[in-house]
Formats: sequence, C-alpha cells, structure tokens
Amino acid sequence: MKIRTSFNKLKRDITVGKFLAVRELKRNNPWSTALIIFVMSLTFFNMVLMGGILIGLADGMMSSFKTYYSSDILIKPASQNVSISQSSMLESLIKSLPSYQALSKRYTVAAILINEDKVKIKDTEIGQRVSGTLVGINPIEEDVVTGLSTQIITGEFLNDYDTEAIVIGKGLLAEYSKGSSTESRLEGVVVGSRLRLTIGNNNTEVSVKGIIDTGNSTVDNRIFILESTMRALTNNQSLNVNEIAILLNQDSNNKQAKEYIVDNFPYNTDIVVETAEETLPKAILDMKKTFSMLGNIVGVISLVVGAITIFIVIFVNAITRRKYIGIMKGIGISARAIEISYVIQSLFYALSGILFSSFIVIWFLAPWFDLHPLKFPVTEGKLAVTTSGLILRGLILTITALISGYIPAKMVTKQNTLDAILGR
Amino acid sequence: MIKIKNLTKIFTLGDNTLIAVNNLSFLVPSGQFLAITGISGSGKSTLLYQLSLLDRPNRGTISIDNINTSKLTSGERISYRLKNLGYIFQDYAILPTLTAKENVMLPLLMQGVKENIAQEKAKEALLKVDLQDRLDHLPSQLSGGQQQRVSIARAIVHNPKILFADEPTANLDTESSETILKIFLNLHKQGQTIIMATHELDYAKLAERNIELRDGIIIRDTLKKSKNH
Repeated sequence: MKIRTSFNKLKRDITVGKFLAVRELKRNNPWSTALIIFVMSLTFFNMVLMGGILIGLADGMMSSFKTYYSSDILIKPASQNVSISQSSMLESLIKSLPSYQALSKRYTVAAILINEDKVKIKDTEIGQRVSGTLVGINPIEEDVVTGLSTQIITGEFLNDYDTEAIVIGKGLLAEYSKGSSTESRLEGVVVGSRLRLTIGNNNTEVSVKGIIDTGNSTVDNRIFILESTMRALTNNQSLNVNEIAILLNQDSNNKQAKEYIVDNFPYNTDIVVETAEETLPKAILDMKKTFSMLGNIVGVISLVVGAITIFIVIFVNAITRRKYIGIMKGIGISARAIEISYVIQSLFYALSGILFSSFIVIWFLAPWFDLHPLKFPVTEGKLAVTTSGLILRGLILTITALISGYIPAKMVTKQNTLDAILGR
Repeated sequence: MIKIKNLTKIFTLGDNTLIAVNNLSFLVPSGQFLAITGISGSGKSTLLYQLSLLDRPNRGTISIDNINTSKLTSGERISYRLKNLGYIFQDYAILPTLTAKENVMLPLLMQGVKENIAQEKAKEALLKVDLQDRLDHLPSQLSGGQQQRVSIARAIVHNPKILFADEPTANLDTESSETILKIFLNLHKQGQTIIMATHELDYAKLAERNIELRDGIIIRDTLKKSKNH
C-alpha cells in the first residue's frame, strides 16, 4: 500500500515536472536553447572525435598491417633460419586448412636501388641510392591475398611477364615522402625510370612499373619484383621462401588456423606462425593503448566541461527563478516535481546535443574521414567510431547531465519556501 | 474553523529580537471573510504566513478543522496547503512560462487530476474571474489586474477550505482593485473562508470581520452584524 502510494506520488511528480519542463523549454529564448544544445554537441564531439581520431590512427596502423602485409596469418622462418624449411610441404598443409582461401609466397632480400640518371648536384650521393627490402612475388597470388594492385598510385602493378620491372613503395621515393624523414630517398623517379638494382655482387637494370602507397610503412619501404627474376638474380635454386601470407575465409578463427599449422607441420620449430594481431609490432600495440588513454583523458575533460555547462545553466535558471520556485512550493507543488522539471530540461539539452553530433559524426564526419584519411608518416588515420562507443559515451553524458541538472535544482528547492518567495 | 492559540513569531537579527506576532489567540469560523489590517510592520503579513503554513511559529498552535498543523512535517504541510489552502500573493506570483490556463491547472495536476479534467476546471475557475477570453495568454500579455485574477483563479480552482490573500490590491489601480474585491465578496457569498491582509481600510471594511494589529498584538477585532454587501 505504502509502495503504491509512493509510486503514485512519483508518477504525479513526473507528470507535473514534465508539464513544467516542456513549457519552460518551449517558451525559453530559442537562441539560448540553441546555444546550450550547441555547447552540448561540442562536448559530445570532443568525447567522440578526439578519442576516435587517436584510436582510428592506431586502428589504421593495425588494419593496414593486416590488409597489405600479414593478411590473416604470416609465416616467417625462425630466427636461426634464413628461409622457411620445407616450404612446399608447408604450402600443401596450408591449402588443407578448412578456412583456407589464398596464400602468397614471398622471397625477401636486402637490395640497393640506384638512380643513375640523377644529375649530381652535390658531391654526395644523397638522392641517388636507397636501400630497401626486395620482395619476389607471384603478382597474381600476392594481389589475391593483399590487394596491392589497388594501392598503386601511379603506373601499374606487376604481371607475369614483367621480368625486368619493379613496383616501388612510396617510402623509398623523395617526391612521395617529403618531410617525413631525414633518411635518403631516391629523387626524380617516375614510372618508366630505369634504375640499377643491386643484390650483393649482382646487379641488373630494372624499370619502374608502378609506385605503391598502402599507408603502411613496412610495405611502402619495399620493392616488389617477380619471384623468377629475383631467383635468377640471386642464383637461388631453393624453393624455400621467406614469408608466407595466408588469407582465410571471412569470420574464420585465426588462432585455430595457426594451431592447425603448428600442430601438423613436422618442422614447426623452424618457423614462426603469427596471427595478424601477433604480427603487429609491440610499438603499435603500445601506441593504441596510449592513444586510447589520451582519448579517454580528452573525453573525461570534455565530460567535466559539459557537466559544468549544464550545472551553470540549470543553476542560473533556478537561481533567477528562485522566487517562482518558492511560489510553486507555496501553492503546494512538491520539491521533487520541480527538481524533475529541471532534470528533464538538462536531459533535453544533453540528448539534443548527443543526437545532433551523432548525426554529424555518422552521416558526415566518418564518411569524410574514410574518403580523406589523416596522413601520418607510418599510416593513415580514419575516425574510429562504433555504434556501441557512441551509445556508451552518450549514456555517460546523459547521466552526467542528469546529475548536473539535479544538484543545482536540489540546492534551490531545499531553501526555505518563504525565504525564496520574499527573496531573503 | 481555524483555532489560533498563543501564536508567537519572533525574529532574531544579531542581538536584536523582534516579536512580530505576540501571543495571539482567536477563532476564525468557516465561511468568514476576515480582513487583517494594520500599519506597515504591524505583523499582518507574518500572521498570514503562519496561518497559511508558509512559516512556522515559535510558539502556539494553529488548528484547522481540528488538525493541529504544528505537528505536520514539511512534506505534510506542502500537501496540506495543496489540498486545503489557496494563496494569493501581493505581486500575483504567476509563473511566467505558463499561460493563464496552465497556471491555474498546476495545483490540480499536482493533486493527480488528469490533464484534460484539469483544463476544464481551470477554464471554469478563469470564467469565475472573468478571464475566459485570456486562457492562452502568457502573464507578460496580461495587465496587473488580469494577472491577479489569474492568481485568484489558481487559488480557488481546487476549492480550498481557506483562501489567503496578502495585500492583493497593493499593486493595482482602483478599478482593478475593486474588481478583485468584488470577486472576493462573491466567493464569500458562496461560503468561501477568506483571510486577507491589507493596509487599505476601505477594502478591509468590505470584509465581514476586521482584526487590526499593532506590534503583533490585536488592538481591535470588529465583526459586522450582517453579511449584506
């Protein structure tokens, strides 16, 4: 009975609170309402954007690593080995994986590229030569696994007949990496440029068929060539490769696939099998952690600013209407109904701000960042915003607004009724 | 029936003590129109605040229909005011963001009356004060007299046992003041108990009974013999 009476009283207070709040909002100065909503939108933007950009940057690094370098699983020789022992046997095993889709075998070796056409400006050879990792690939296999052909910014990707051609990462070319590092890079290289490729004591002349830009520094510092050309150049008769990148079916379990390979390959001590996540350098994982933390710190600061804004708005509103609050209590309106009216108003401001900025983020900013990612030396940054992230941040801001609206309203309603009416 | 016994209200400001209401005892029968008069500072407003339960006395008791209001908690006093008392303030005190009708609806909604019923009752109350054509006007669109009539409609909409009015004509011109007094007299005719604090003797004379205060003490208590106005 008592619970029912309390519930009825609460229901009545909510009805009156809503009645007061709706009219207050409706008849407020629309410009001041718009301004408060705008401030709440900025608060929410700050909570979402800063964290989203920072995490997006780390996600960008992780994603480009997986997409253009490691794929779902990357197999490398163990540290004591130069190449993967029994590569053919391993390839057969990989192809027996239930989730297998494609693989790319890569031969890697350190190489030097020299631009002999470069007109010497200084006595030094800066801009004339660069060292990088030469990767011998089957272009069709590689393209299926990493889609590198889609990342060619000028020229074309390799095909089976390009025996004297290379595709070069933009990180090795001065024109495409201006200001990103002090390391030497080749100058004046365009599609069609003829460069001298040196591996140990062997060298040959190659032409640049395409320039690649994946946004991933590991890939963008590589030189791609046909495996047959490379094997000929290095006199490599062995079929043992240096890297195998494996693409699995969508939604398959990388860890299970890794275990399958390790468990079934007899020479498993000679290889290192890593899932895409394990391939990531620790620095990137640390960076993601740090960026997440920074994003959260910025979010908390925004939250505090938003809370203070709502507090001030409601407090000023309640203080200037102190007399009317006294009168309402005087005619029998409960303090709780008055407090609810202020809480509803702050919720309205917060939710309007959240909805407005969510709309902008989902419909404009996220697509815009997808089309125009932030360019960083090591990767490209997109806006990492998830629906669950938006909901969580929206919920936090809503709860903060609720508390920030309630406290000043409570402060004013708990004053003596007569003192409030008489302005004492 | 209101029974006031040994009612005392003392204000303390630093070392100074002011006895605003000094040991007052009197009865107000139901249906009476009582005017409390006196010069400024005589204690009439303070007495009204105690009687209408807006303030607590230091000593003494106020019983309304045998309920000792001194024993009510703050929450119970608010609830009691809502159900049983109506209050008209000197400066109208209607809420600026609510229309005339909405201002009048408010006490009904607080009593749990449904919105559509509250609307109808508010219209009826505004009709009683001749404001049926100003239902949807905001206070800023009404004259002082009209605002005070909205305040009266709000005070009577829930049929209170007692209607309190604190200097209801103080801010009004003669014509508006007379309109307000006419409304009070009409309500009184219908059996409404009214307690009005005023310093305007001409209006006080219209009441059935007149209590004059000086320094918190009753110096004159005059009762008219007939109720013909």
